[in-house]
Amino acid sequence: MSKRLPTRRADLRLIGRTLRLVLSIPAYAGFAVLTAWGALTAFALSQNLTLTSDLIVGGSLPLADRLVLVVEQYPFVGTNYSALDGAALLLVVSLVGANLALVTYHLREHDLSAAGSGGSLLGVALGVLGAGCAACGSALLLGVLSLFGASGLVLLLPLGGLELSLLAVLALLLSTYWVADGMRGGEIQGCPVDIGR
Amino acid sequence: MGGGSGSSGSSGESSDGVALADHPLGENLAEWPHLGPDPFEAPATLVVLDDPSCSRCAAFHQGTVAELESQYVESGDLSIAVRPYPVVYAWGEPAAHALEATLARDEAAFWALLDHYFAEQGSFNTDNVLDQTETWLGDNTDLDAAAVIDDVDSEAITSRVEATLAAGEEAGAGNITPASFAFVDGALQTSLNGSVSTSTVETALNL
Repeated sequence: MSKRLPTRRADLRLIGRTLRLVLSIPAYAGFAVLTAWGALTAFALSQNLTLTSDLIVGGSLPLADRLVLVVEQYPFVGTNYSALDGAALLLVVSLVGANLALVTYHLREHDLSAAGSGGSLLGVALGVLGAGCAACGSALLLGVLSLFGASGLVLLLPLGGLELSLLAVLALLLSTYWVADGMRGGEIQGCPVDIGR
Repeated sequence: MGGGSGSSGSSGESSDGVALADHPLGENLAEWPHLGPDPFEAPATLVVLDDPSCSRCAAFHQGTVAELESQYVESGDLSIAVRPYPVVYAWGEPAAHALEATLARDEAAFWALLDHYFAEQGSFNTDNVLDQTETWLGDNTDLDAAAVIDDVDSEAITSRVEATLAAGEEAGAGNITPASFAFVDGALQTSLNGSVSTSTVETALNL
């Protein structure tokens, strides 16, 4: 399948219609929510690996205290993220959930290959790397950059690393479009996916 | 991990109860300022590495540290020790030197200057930070501001900043700020990356 870029308004409507149709199926909506929540938890805990290891997974704290520690790492519940970083992270994990629900629907119902899943993986990877205040030290981003001796590179970015989250959003939107484009001509719950080219 | 020999830091390596006195950041800790009781005697101690140029350090101090101070420091249940740790933006390094030079003269002025850096982060860069610091110290403290600035590049001040950078590196803080190390009854419980919430610190420190 050739990879077109979504350049027209109809392309954006295709993304919206396909997502709406797939997520109107309760099982896929639930899958999207669970996937987004799992991604959010993984992103948030990845910023505090020692805390996770010492007190959330290990240690002797009661279960309630462990849950407090997990929940307090989420944006807008805890204080780890600025409002902008927290909103970007929630947008990324929401797109991850919706995107993976779409890819799963495509694989299961159409028995086709996962067109666009490369974009999904890229979006997830960028989202993980860019989570949090990259300039002050996103644990995974600095770890990856330091492998190349380039941990100071992120400080040169005008938004202090928020650019990575924006790239993640872009990659996930492209991936979602490509999957939706691959579903043209099909039907979801009896409704045609195609909007017209 | 042996006392004092290994990292016990914030990069995913497990903490295993190393004593504050043996921890890299515990060495000569009495030379750095703290809020509340003696860090080595307090029921709970938080050692915080801060970069004056880091926005999340500012948020951490203005939110979590302020709340902890009113709820636990004043009652003697918690000690919070702070060491300047310049690893983020370039202006943070001369600012850290200025903080150390100020601390050598007046601890209260150190805390006030740290608050000033956090409150006005957007106005500093490498070209103006020392000039603005001198002006602020002259206007807001009784210190000889010019003498403080003259001291910024002295061997003594430089060695203090380098000592904290080396201790932070050994503790596993890397380039992440704020990096906080949580001790209960003098034993390391865990380390915390970023501007974690008051509830996170309370839970980690059994407060």
